[in-house]
Amino acid sequence: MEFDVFTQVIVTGLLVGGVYGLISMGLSIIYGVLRVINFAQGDFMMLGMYAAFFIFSIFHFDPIISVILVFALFMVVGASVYRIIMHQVIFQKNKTSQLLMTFGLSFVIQNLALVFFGPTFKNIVTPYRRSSFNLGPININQAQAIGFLIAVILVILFWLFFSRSNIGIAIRAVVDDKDVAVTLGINVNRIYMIAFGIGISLAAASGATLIMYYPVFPTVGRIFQIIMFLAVMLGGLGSILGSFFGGLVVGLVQFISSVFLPSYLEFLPVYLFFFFALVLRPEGLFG
Amino acid sequence: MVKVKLFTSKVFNKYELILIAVLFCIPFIFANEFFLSMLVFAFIWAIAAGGPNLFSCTGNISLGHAAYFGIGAWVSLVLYINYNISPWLGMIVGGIAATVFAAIFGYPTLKLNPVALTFATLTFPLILTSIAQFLNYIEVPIPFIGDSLQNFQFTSKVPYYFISLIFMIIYVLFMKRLSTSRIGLFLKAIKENEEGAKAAGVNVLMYKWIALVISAFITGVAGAIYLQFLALFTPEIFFGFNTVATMTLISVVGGLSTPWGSVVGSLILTPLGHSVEFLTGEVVHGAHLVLYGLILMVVVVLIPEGLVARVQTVYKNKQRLRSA
Repeated sequence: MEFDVFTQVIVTGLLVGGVYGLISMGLSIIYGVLRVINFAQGDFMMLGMYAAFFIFSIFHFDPIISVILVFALFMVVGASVYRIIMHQVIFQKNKTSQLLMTFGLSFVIQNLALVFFGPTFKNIVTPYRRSSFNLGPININQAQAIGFLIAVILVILFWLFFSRSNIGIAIRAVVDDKDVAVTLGINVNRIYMIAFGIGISLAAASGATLIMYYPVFPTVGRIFQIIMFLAVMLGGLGSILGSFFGGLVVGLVQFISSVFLPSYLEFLPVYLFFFFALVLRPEGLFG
Repeated sequence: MVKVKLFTSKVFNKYELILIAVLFCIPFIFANEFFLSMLVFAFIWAIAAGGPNLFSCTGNISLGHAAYFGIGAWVSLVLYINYNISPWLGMIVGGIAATVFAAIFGYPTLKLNPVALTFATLTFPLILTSIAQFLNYIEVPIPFIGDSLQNFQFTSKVPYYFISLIFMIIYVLFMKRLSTSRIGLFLKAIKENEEGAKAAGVNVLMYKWIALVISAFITGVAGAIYLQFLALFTPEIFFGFNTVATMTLISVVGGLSTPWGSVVGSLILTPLGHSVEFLTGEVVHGAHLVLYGLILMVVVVLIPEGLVARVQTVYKNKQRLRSA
């Protein structure tokens, strides 16, 4: 492969991978705090994409602004989903029922999206979507660059949130030792609600970022679900920066393989990577 | 005591015999095509969901059974279209192919914890979808060349009805036999207490593998029957997420690891889903799937042990009250 093509692929892979990192962060937080694998995470990302799409087509707000709006909106959605649905199974010992619950939730959301939005692909066309920065032989798509920037900013903000703010510290206390946290007067149920809300709104905000250059359709979450599990597993669960770097790796793997492989097999290396990573190093994700 | 008698003295108890008799009479009473095909789907899904249902006695939810379902269908399709081999033989070969796939690729997942296993097996249908699309098996119809038992093709729905019903009864008989066999008892022990079974000297990994292999064969054969009934192969139908979800839903609602679990689940859910799809399909697409998801969520909260086990408990409690 020519050197220019190779650099181009690496740069694109990293830019998109940064957004994958952002997508994965919510999953990492939810698992880290609630110890629940949220099967519906990809579907909340899809809802975030639709939200940004409708904000764009009705109010003509740029996706860059809707990232903030979508984040705020899905904070409420996530907290409500926790209160109404997850709360029913969260304190059960049996992990299977939690998994089945999020599995059912995922199925409901996907098909509701199908009912209300139809199966067609929807795109947002912004001026920066089709233009690019030219750095010598490499072209950097502006939408991908902006997406990467948003991802980096959000990752840093949340890293600061978890290390500095009071709520962040309370959340970490619950993660470290739930029983001690309770004796210190921390309301675990409320912390779970906040963490679930943050996790969901991060997924939705990353959807609003992704729609700058990726079309939305009801089942888009399925592909990204695998990507986020892989990224989180590579980075170590509960680690915010880890899942971001995991996302970068997945982006690289996907874009390098897309050069060599026909389009139908583009995701095959990601799936195989996921399978072998799970089988060979299961403690990475679910240890 | 009641339970032991049920399994040893008679193959079926009177309620089961009544259900089977009613099912055999239905085509003579309502010969409605839509109604019959709905029940054919229900029988096939009962067998297909029987695979994950059996496998769940290892304490795991497998999402890989859509892969075994699809492999059964795919192999049978290739044998019929390319080599003109009868679907009856293709069904067996397809089931064996699914078994071999599960035996090889499913084996390493058995050592994982339940959550990791669920995700590792989720990749099977995704990988096979990519490969099927790449090999251009995107939409392959099976040409209809006239009524023929040998080619498993009929104009009327009635032969499909009886064939799939008989297969379903064979499945139930097999599961009943299995549940009282040595393997079945060991599996029950593993389900109740894996550590305890291990301590008692049960080779847990081997019995999990046996459950996986048998369940893959069951689901694979169901896939091949489904293919004959639809006369169409697409990766989305056989390896798709809806397939995974439908199987999981049916086995959870009916009750995991009970011989009748997937049958009861499927006889309730499949007709329900098809009716909702029939009534709303023109206006909205996917309404019945929303309903499926909601039912799954409600069942997980309210009757996590499934319908069959719940009814058995209620029935037993009533008898205890009567004898007291």
